[in-house]
Amino acid sequence: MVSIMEIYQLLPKLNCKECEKPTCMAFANSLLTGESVLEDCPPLYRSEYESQLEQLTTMLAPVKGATETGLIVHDELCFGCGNCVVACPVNVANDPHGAAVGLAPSNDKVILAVVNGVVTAANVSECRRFGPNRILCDVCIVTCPSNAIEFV
Amino acid sequence: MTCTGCALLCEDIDVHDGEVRHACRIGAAHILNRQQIDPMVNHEVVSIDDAIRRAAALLADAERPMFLGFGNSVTETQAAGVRLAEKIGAGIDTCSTHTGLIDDIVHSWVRTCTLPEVRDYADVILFWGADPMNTHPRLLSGYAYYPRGKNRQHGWEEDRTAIAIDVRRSHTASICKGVYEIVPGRNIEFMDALMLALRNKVPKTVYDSKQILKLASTLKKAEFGVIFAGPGLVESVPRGAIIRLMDKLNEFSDFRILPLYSPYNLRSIAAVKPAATVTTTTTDTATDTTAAREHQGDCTPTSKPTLASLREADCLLCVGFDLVSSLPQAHDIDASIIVIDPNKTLTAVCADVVIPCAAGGVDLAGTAVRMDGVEIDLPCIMETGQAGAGIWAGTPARMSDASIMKRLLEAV
Repeated sequence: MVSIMEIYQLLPKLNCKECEKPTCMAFANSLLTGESVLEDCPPLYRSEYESQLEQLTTMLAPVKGATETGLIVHDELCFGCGNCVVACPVNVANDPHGAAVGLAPSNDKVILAVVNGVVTAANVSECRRFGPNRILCDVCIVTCPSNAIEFV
Repeated sequence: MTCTGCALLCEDIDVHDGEVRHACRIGAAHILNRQQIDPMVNHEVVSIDDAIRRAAALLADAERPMFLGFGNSVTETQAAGVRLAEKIGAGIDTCSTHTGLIDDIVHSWVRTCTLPEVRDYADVILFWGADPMNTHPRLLSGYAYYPRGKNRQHGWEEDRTAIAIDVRRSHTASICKGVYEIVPGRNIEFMDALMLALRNKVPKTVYDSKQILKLASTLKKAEFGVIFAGPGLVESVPRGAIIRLMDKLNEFSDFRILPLYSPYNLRSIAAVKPAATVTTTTTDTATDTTAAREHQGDCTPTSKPTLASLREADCLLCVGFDLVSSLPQAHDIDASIIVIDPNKTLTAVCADVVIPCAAGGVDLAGTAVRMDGVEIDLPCIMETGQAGAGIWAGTPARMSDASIMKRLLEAV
C-alpha cells in the first residue's frame, strides 16, 4: 500500500498552501485519508509536473474506495468468512446477541457485515479509528486470513 | 434460511432482492449460481422424461452398477437412492475419506460434540489436516474461535487457543496461535511423537521435540479440546491411530473430534448406510480401495473411489458428485455415466445421460444432517419457475432429485 512519503515525493513541494494545508506533507496525508483530492493542488496541474500527476493518479487509485476511517476491503481477496464481523469490538458491543456470539448481525448498528460473500462497511462513525480521538484498533486486520482488509 | 454450500449448514442467511446477506463466498456463489444444465442423452438436449427413461434403461441393463456421491443431496433423496440401489443391486460410494471417522463417531468409539458446544466450552481447538478458512469459511467466526460462548466470554483473545497442523502454512494457520508444519507423508510420525510427548517422554523424531512437547503441554491443560479432522488427517493415518490418540488425550483432559468435510449432507448418508458404502457394492469397492491403500503403506479403509474399482462397474450414477473433477482419469472409462446434478459439471459434459435437478436448500426443501450430527431443516430459499421471483426469475422449474429417484425406481 502507498505511503505518505511516496505521495510527498511526487508533490511539487512548494508549500504554497493553496490547498489550505500548512505543508505539502500535510496535503500528502490528507490525500491518503481521502480528505483532499489531487484537484486541490493547482500547481500539480502545470505542465512540468505532468508525469508526477500521472504517477499520483495511478498510485491513489486503490485508495479511492476507502471509507472515512481509511478502511479498504479488497473484494477479490475476501472469503466472506465473517471473522472481522464477529471479532470487531464495536460489533460485539452493539450486537451482543448476534455478531458477538457468531451469528449474523441482528441490527443495523454494526460496522461490518457480509453481503454477497464479501464484507462491507457501514456506520463507520462508530469505528474506533474514526474521529480525532481515534485509536489504532487492528482487530479486523489481524483476524483476516487473506489480508483483504487494510487501513490507509 | 439455511445455506447448503458446505457442511456447516448456516441457518442465519438472509436472501432478498437478489442479495445474499451473511453467507460466505462459497454460500453466496452456491445460492446465486445459475449454471444450470439441460437434460441430455448422448450430449444432445432432450426432454427430462426422455432423459429419465434412458437412465432407467441403462440402470436396468447394467450388471455391475455403482452409485457415487449423495453427499450433496437432502436426506429424502438419499433414502430414495438407497432403495433404488437395493432394488438393482448397486453399490453406493460416498466418495469421501471421512466415512471411517463418521463411522467411529456414530459407534461412539471416539467422543464428539455439537458445534454450539464448541462455541460455549472449547478452549483448545486443533485444525488437523484441514483449512476451514477455504472449505468452511464461517467455522471460526461462527463456532470455533472468534465467538463469545457461555464459558468463553472473552472469545479468541484470552479464552481460546487455535492450533493448525498441516503440511503447509494455510490461510487458517495464518490466524492460529500455534502452527505445526507436517512433512508430507509423515503425519503418522507426528502423531506418534505427540503420543510419546503426552506420556512425558522426549520423542526422537524428524520434528522439533521441544515444539511437540509444548503442543502436548497445551493439549494436556485443555479444559475442553476439539480436533477438527480434515482430509489431511483421515487420509494419512489409520483409523485406529486417531482412536488411540483421542483415548490418550482423554486421559488428561476432555477432548472431542469433529470431521471436517465439504458435502453438506455426508453425515446422513455415511451414518445411515455405512455398510452399503463398503460392503454391499457389487464391484467390491472395499477390497479394491483397501488394496490400493495397502499398496501405499496405509490400510485406512475409506470409500474414496479408485480408478480400478470404477473400471469394474458398467454403469455409474453420479448424484451431486463431480467424478471427473475428483478423478480426471475417469473421463474415458467404459462404463456409461448418468449424472443427476443441479449444475453444469465436468462429469456432466462427458456423461451419457444428464438429468438436472433442484438444489437442496435453494429451490428444494428437505432435511440434512450437519457435520456434528444435528438434523437441520432446509427451507426453500426460492421457487424456480416463478415469474418475478427475484434471483431465479425466468428460470425453468427443476425437478427434485428425490422425485427423479422415485421415477427411476418405478421405471426399473
